[in-house]
Amino acid sequence: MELIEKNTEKCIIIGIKGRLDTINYSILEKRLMELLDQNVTKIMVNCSQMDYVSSSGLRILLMALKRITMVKGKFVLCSLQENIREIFEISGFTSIFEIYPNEEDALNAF
Amino acid sequence: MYNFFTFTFAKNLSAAAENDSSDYRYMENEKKQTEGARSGMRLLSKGGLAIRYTRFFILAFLLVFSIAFYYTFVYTRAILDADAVQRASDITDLTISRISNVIKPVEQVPYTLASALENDKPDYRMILDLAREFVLDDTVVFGSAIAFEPYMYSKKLYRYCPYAFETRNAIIGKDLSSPEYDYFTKDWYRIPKMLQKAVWSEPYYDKGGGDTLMCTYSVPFYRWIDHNRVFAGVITMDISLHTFQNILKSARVSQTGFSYLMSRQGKLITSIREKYLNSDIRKLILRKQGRATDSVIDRMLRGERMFVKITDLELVKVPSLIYSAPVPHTNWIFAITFPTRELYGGMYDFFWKLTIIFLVSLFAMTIITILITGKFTRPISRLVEATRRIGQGDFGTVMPIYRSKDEISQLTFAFSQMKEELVHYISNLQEATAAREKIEGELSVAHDIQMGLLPKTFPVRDDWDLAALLDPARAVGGDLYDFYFLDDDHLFIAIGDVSGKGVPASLFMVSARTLFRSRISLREPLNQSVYEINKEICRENPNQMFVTFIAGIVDLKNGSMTYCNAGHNPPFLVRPSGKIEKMKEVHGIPLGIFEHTTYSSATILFSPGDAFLLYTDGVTEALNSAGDFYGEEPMLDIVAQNHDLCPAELIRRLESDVIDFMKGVDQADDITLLILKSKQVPAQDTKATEVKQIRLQNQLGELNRLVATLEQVAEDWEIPPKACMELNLILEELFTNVVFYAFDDGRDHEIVVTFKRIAPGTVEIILEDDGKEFNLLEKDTSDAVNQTIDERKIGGLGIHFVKQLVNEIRYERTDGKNIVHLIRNY
Repeated sequence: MELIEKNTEKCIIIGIKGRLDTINYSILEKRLMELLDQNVTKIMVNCSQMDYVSSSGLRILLMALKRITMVKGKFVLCSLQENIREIFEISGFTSIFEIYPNEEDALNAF
Repeated sequence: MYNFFTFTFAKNLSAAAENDSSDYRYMENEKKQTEGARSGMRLLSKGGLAIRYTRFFILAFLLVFSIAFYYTFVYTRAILDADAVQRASDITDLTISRISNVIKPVEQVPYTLASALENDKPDYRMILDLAREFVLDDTVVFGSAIAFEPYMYSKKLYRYCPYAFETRNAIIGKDLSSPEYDYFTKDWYRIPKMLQKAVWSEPYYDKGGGDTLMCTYSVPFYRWIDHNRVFAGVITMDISLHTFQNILKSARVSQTGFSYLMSRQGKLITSIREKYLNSDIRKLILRKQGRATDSVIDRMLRGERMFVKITDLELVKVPSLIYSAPVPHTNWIFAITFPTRELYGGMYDFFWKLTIIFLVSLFAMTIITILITGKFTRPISRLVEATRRIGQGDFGTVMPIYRSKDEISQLTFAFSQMKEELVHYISNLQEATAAREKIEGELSVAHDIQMGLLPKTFPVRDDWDLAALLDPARAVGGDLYDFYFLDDDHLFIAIGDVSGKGVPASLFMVSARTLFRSRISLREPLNQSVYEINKEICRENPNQMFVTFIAGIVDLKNGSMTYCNAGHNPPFLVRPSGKIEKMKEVHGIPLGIFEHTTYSSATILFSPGDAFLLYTDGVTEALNSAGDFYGEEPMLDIVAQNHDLCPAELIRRLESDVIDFMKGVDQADDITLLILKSKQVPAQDTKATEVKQIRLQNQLGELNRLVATLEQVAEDWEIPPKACMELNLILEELFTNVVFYAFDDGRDHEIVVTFKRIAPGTVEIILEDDGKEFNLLEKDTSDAVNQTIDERKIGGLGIHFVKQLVNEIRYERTDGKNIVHLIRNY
């Protein structure tokens, strides 16, 4: 898995490339915690290149959402692949996360 | 999984090596001594030597004495008999001569008178006077008569018989002739007249005459008338039988013996008792035995001189001996009788005393014999006791000292020597046993090591099955088999037999196995590997050992096997039909012989149900008690009859048959068998089912291998990417769950994941782990969804995913394993 970070005026965009699973979720966890510790409150995760996610990965996303919501910040997802989207649906996460079909729509939400 | 390794230990601990506690031995000593005393008594008891010897001695003595006693008895009696006969004979002769002395004058006188009467003109008066004088003079003669024939005395007198007889010193003369007493008819007159010779009459009681028992001697006399000698009358002499009574009184042999006279007719002339006088002796026989006595008496009365034993005569009554003889001139029989009791009485007394003396001395002899034999056997008793104690292991026992130089002393000496040698021998034996035990202990460890080298279990698979057996003849052996997976699809199998047995062979075997394990790989052709291995073995083979070998590499996927037979027994390919093919092809000589020799190989193709049988000559050359080989045929018969059994069961049958065959004989060689079988796939989905299995460690990193395998399976079975991703998710959740929660012992564990394409478009996945029991299906995950962000807990999501993404899921706990079966369509 690779993380591709982009800073924009409105928020920090983190692109996940590859598989997010039990072996490597800690990489994402570590980065997100760093950002939150720096009082970053606006984060967008671009999932367009995320091929796979397991419950461990979802758990990190859920954790980040909870912390940012506590400090009245904003944490959104965008560009989910169809297969991944189904996983989100099964898990019920679609009703918890703000999910946008593409990066532009997501940016407009900030 | 089955374990086929029979361990045969032959640990024969020598009984001599038992280390008795010496304390125990001392405690026993007292008891043993009393036992010893008892055993000494045993010699005097029933079966003891002393008693047996004494009994024998007494019996022999009794026998010898009895014979001597009997002989002496008979001999003494014979002497007594002979003596009695002699005495009886002497007395008889004496008595007879005394009787003759009495009778002779009695017989002489009538003759003188008769010749005087034959004159022409006899002076009768003078003759009568002569007769009268004679009667007066002679004490024996009682009376005398001259009886004339009619008219012979004078022509006037018809009968005339002057008779003179003695009464109380007076001679009385009278004429006996009277019409009432017709003397012509009397025996004393008639018999001499008829016989024309002198005759003694039978005894008779004379009434009117002498009033006494008498006998008459009658002599005929004649006269010459006209030159003819004419019978003229009879001159008689009567004698009183009392005369003989006196003579016979003195004639006797013993105290109660007596003698008597009988006439030829059997009348008793004299007797000890008056009442028997003139009785017939035959009438005096007590009718008990009869005939014998009759004949004896007949012989007596015939005048035989004889000596007989007689019991049943009234006269005698007690058993008596009779000596009889005829009295000359007369018709009388003299008999002398004496009771045997009196004759033998002294002898009987003597023998009675002798018997008592004998019995007393016999008793004394018995006591003496027992004492003497007891003395002789006492050293033997002591020796017996000492030997028994040695036999019980007390080698400290002191042998009895016996100073004389006889056989017992030699025996004691021999036993002492034996004891010394035993002590020496047992100490040697103990050393040897200790050494052997040490070696056996080491061998037992070696055995465990060697057996530990052999792979024992073959994973349960749907496509292949394998079982093997190695039963060494000794603790360690030179046979080997081996199998292991070169990779997921390739199995290496091998069997070998090292020349020789025991430790050297086993070391060689281990070295060969190690070489194979390190050299064989999929990168190099099998025959090339074998060539290299042979070179290696030859290079380090100072003892010129070799090993016959078959090595094979099986492609489990396509069922082909490449194998190389280096001088080993030909293997067999068993078809599902039961047909057996012998793979005679050999690809080279045994390993370890020539360094530069090449090896080829062959490839065979397994069809489902085919089995490949490898064995060593320990099977075919197993010997029975008759010395016959087991051979190939019984082995192949069992294989043909049971070809549809699993390899493990088939090997078990073969093993028990070979063991039955060898009954009673020690196993001569290692017995090794290996069977590889391509399983027959169930008919309904022969082509559909495909299986893939992966074994994972309980480490997160293994997830990569699991994913790689899944991707391979997906590619092979054309599983679409979406389904593949979902299967990936399922497996990850299940696997990580196991890794995180199933184990807490910090050790390595294996997690087995099996993929099965059970039908086109359907895959079954089985996860097995030997961790803590955990049934994920029981975990409630219903709250994992439909919760607000605040309610949402972190966790439980993975299992929720699994449940959502499978078509079927089942959990079981078997043999300490968690097994999850899941089915997913795609």
